[in-house]
Amino acid sequence: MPGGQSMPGGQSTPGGVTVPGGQPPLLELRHLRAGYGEIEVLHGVTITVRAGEVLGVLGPNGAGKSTMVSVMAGLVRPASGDLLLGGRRVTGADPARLARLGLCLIPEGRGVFPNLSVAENLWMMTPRGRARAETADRVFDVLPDLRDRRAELAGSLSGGQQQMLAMARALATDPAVLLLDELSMGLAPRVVTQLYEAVARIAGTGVTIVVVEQFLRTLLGVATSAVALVGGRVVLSGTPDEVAPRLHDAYLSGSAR
Amino acid sequence: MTIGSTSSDTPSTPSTSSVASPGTSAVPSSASPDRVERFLADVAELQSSTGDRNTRLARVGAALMAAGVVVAVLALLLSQTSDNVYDQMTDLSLGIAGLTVALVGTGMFLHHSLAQFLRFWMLRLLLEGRRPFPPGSDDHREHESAGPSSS
Repeated sequence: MPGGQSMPGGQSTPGGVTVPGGQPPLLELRHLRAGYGEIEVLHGVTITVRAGEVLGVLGPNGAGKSTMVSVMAGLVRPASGDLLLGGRRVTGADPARLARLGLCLIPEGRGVFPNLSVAENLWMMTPRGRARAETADRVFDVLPDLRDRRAELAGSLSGGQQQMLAMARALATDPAVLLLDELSMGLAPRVVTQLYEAVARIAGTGVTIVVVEQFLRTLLGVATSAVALVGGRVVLSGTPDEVAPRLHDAYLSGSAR
Repeated sequence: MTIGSTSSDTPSTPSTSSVASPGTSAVPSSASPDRVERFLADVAELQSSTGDRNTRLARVGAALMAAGVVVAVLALLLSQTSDNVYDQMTDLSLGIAGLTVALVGTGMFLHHSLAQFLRFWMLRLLLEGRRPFPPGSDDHREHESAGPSSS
């Protein structure tokens, strides 16, 4: 179902969430300009993500992909433009508060605690008032590979398993929106495939996902829509199948054809 | 999904784009809109609230601390203006109550202002406890887990 279409009585999204008709997008960047100090990285980016959608953000190095998800997570304050959640402007909100709402960023480099076990890493992210065992069971149902490794130190896991643990920790927070930054960085292709199978399972639970990647091939079969970011500007958008044939030219020329 | 860019030198992109069918997703959908609704409700609350609970309680603690000290000092001064022992006892009782309030306020302030800092301090300690891994260990394990290539 096209993400922008409305259905009578509600809107069904690929992730399986049915949102009331006419409801505003879950996450929106509007005419966003952001950067670091004097250097502007994003030049007027507008992106809308609906509930249950899996949006792939593609682009070469330095395109502004990580900056964009950092703005979404509230870590980078935009110079102008707006971040909207559910149609409400939250630009400049404290990132910790956005995280508590359910906007969860998995940054590059996984960020797991290597000297804690898998279970302890999950406990660290379990909100107060929730049973640890229940949270762990819920997470392991989606990411079963970690169940047998719950007692192992995170630092002893392979890179792919650590990335899986990073996703598990995010799931422990019961996220509404998951922001994944360069999930496949430095990992073997087969491990990347396993990771994206896990992402598809998470998407199947209704979590809205924005995933940043350099290569479209890794996103095929998971993303329901894709945008290409080149030089801080959105140059392509559509389904992954629509974007794929034009992506190479966009990367080389910095614009869509 | 609607995508665009305000830049004039950027080629126009579709205002709406279609999204792949659910069949492209490898998993069945079992979602409930509850989480989305809760998220939207929390966003609305975020806008209406004036600050998080810790900040509010830290401010209350600081106010109690200051008020308690003021009351205690005033009670002490008041007790010195009277020769009547009973009046002095009343004033000193008030002073002790003020000190108690100041102590409670100090505790609240420290607890709620330091709580977040201590959490980050603990996380920092955990991260600094990172042990160096042998070079190439990740690659080694990934090759092990990947098994023979299918391509």
